[in-house]
Amino acid sequence: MDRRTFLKMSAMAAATTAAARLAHGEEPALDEQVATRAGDQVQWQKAPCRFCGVGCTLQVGVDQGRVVAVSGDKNAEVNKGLACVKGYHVGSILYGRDRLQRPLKRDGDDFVEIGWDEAIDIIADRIEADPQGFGVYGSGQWTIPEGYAVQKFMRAGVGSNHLDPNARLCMASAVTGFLSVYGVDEPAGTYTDLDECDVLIMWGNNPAEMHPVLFSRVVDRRARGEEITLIDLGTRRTRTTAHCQHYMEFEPNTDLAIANGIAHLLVKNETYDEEFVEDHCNFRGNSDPLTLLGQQITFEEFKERLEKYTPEYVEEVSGVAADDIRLLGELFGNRDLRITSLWCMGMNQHTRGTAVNALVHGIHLLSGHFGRPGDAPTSLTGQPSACGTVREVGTLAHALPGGRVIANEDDRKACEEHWNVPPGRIPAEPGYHTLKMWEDFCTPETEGGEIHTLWVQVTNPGQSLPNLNKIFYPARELDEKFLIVSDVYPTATTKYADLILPSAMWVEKSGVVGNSERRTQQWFKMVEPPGDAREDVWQVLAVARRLYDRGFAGMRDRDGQFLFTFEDEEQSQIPVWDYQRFHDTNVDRHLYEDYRPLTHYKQKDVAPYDELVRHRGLRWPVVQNDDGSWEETEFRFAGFDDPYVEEGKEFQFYHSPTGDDRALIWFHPYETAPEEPDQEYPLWLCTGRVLEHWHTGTMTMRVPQLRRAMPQAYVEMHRNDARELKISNGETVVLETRRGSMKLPAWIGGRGKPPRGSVFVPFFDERMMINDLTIDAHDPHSKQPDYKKCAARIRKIGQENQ
Amino acid sequence: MTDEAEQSEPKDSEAQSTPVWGESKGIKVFLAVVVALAVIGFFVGTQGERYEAQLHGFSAEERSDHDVEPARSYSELMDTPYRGNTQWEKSLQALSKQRPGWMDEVERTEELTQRALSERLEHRAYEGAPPTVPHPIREKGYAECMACHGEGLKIDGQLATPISHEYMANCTQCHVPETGSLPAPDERYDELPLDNAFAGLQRWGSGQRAHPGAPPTTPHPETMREDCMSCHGTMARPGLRTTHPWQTSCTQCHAPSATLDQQPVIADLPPVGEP
Repeated sequence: MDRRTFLKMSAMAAATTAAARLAHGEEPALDEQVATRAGDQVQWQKAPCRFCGVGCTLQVGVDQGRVVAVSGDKNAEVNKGLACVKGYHVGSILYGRDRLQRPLKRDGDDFVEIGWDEAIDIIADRIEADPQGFGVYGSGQWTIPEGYAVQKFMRAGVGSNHLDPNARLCMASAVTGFLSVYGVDEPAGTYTDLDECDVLIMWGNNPAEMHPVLFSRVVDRRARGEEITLIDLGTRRTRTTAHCQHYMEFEPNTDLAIANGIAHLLVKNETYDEEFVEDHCNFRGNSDPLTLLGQQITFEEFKERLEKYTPEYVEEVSGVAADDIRLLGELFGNRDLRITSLWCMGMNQHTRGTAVNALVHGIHLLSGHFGRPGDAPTSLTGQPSACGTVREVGTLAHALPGGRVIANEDDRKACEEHWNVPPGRIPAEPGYHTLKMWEDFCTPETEGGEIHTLWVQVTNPGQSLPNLNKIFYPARELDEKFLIVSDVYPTATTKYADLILPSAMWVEKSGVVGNSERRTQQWFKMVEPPGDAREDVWQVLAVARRLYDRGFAGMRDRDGQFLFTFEDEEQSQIPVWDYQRFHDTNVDRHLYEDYRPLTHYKQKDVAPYDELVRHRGLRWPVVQNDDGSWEETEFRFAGFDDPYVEEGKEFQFYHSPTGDDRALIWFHPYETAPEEPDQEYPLWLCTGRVLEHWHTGTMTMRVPQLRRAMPQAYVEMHRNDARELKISNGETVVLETRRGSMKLPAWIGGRGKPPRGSVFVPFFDERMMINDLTIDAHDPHSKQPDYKKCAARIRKIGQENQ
Repeated sequence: MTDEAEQSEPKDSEAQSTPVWGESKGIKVFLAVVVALAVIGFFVGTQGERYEAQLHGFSAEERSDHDVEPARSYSELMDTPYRGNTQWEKSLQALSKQRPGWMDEVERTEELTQRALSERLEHRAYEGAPPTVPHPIREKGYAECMACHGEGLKIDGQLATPISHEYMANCTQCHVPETGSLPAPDERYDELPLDNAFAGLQRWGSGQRAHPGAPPTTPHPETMREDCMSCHGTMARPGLRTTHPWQTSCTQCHAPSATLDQQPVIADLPPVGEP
């Protein structure tokens, strides 16, 4: 955007603002009143940032009921006083003028305002009519209490397992990776490894933009005179690359070959850690049919399968120079170094996501670069509570809280017991995972579509699902389908909703979230939500109560009591479903403390709520010392730190899939991607994020500083590809795949630099929906789709493709 | 010569463009008008590019024709390498004079202070927010930023403030360009207009003096502002500039605020894992 457009934009914004104020007869004074006040009246309180999975703690300044400033929390271990540009401007996300403020019901092509009472009735009607066809599609942005309430509401109350989150699109493969290697989910290491490592390898990861505060934690060590080797294994040059000593560019999908190449060298040169492997590892290969558990193989078989992954072969497949593969092999072969691997969407949004996750864990285990400070394979998450709410509370189609699974009868019994509901209340059949859920929602009842109603909370599937033409839009043509969306702004999803519920967000409500390093954080409500917007958790409790009042059996426990009963000190029930009474008690604390004992099963003990209030988060397992104090865990499975490792053991993988305290080193072969460039569609298309915007941009596109810095989506392409097509920088072009096409401007030599034959498009812009073009092929275990690789072509506007 | 003609002022170009062309007077006039329009159009067009213009914005006399060296081929470069021309050297000297001396008298009035503070807020969502970047960036990494902001630079009325906090390598993590760096206009702006009612904190407050003449306390946090000279040094905005830059131990007299600096942590909180 040039300066004139910018000025025009600003002027227009100001004009609309003024008009909106006139139209609503608003006092124009409020903004100005707050703004001119000095800082001494500001009240400061901690809250984790609303955005990514890093989990920075912020200090939020509130004056006259409005957020007026934000500062990094100096006493927070995660960010040590720093934030990123999104974090610093997070206060503005509350104040976009198009916030949803009233429940809205579809009326033809329009929406009409309705009251909450009617909205709750509509949902209760849909559930009562056919509970098994009711589903909830949630999010890693749900707070832990919200997710837990929905978990209980669905499994024990409605009796439907059709509950899945957007995290399926985000870190499901990391979960299956952890499960297949350690038998239990979530990283062993923490961010402390970033302070201690000598070598940091980023696998298809761009933390300079996506996890900037963590990235700074590493690169700023250099400013203090420390030496650290940064290696970027990527498919395009990014801002991260600029900070790295080594950039190894690989052909998409060949990361498996690279990992195998490293393992090959470790075994061949006998530089693997014999003792560690001998004592703590088993070897594993794929079974037929594929299962997450695979089958036992011997070290000899493992060696044999790696045979062909010589540096030269890996170079041929991946394009990474054989010498670079040798360099990686030497680094891993050196036990004196501390090596941390980081990854995020590059490895997770991958049709071989589980496999590549397992391989990277494997080379760390094989080389013994595990469990010492600085030695860790660490996956990062993208949402503030992907770990806390999705992975720990288990808001997945197949999961229950605390690492339990629906398929396991004992696990179901444990939850039924805890919730005091009769045995058999939780259906034994797992629900539909995200892609299947939405595909089913797009399938007419007459053709076997089971799900008739979906309630979406805190996410925007109309923009973030892959291949929207196949798994999102068709539902709109079907009269029997009903879409309920709780959100804070109009989105690509609310556009298609039948019922829209306005929600409170971030510090308009209290919350508890869990970040990428097993840290659970808590905050209190600080300001009021606008209009009639209400907490997502209240919405769920209100529907539950409405069903209870109508006599819906599922909402009663064994004693006939309402499933969500909160009592005050005199043991009298607090009617929190009545919004006037919702804030009479700390509902978050009740729900969280109800959930907490469920985390002990797999040694994921989260800290008591009251401890969280006093800390900037604590990393589980959090156990109580003899003196009554609570202690967190930085290095899981390591004897020197993890309280659950038996006395005297250096390491103990106490949830080993093989039941012998050993982690599994897997072999997975490299294979080609389901859709690769060909003559017709000669380019690789990769999608992703940018620093300024968070996911689908619902919040950040409404923040002036962020919007102006990155006003719209674009397609990054290589100079020579552009030259061949006679495309100039900034020119609007047509991007096409077999699934759809769109127009967007080309950016040549921009922020990211894809190699020849490769293009990149960010997915934040709801006006240029790249997911009309992406593929819905997914990992066989995690069911996570691959947004990073499909075949595409570009043409100039008005020209046929040659 | 076309480049030079474009870069010089309109009247020079007109002088060049009037003779020789065509036979009839009509064509001459027509051509003169076309050229004049083109030249005017060019300058009107460049007006939008404020920063671009300022970077190259030497006045006509600063780059008068007699001083311009002709372009040369690569083979010629060996024998006659480029040197700074005299005019350029002269203007560089003039530019360096924009750094005021330590002993220069400093004017401090409430009005100047207020003006300086509101100028600061033009590039901040609220007092304490990382300033946005009021010029385009080239996405070339931290060296690009540090070239001007490392030590600070004042050039032709434009001030590049020296960084106020310790060196951090990932500059664009916090500081983003105000107009982005995409080469394309946002043609679909109307489909998602920007309209936000956030009203940020404008001032932390004022420093307090125990008595007239006593040194005021620091009215803002020290976090991210460890280098006082960034905002209060000799190059700083009038109104914020210190009257005594030779005194370098600022906190000796100006007490910081524990509250604003988020100290103490939390009362009676034991460290994790210890009694």
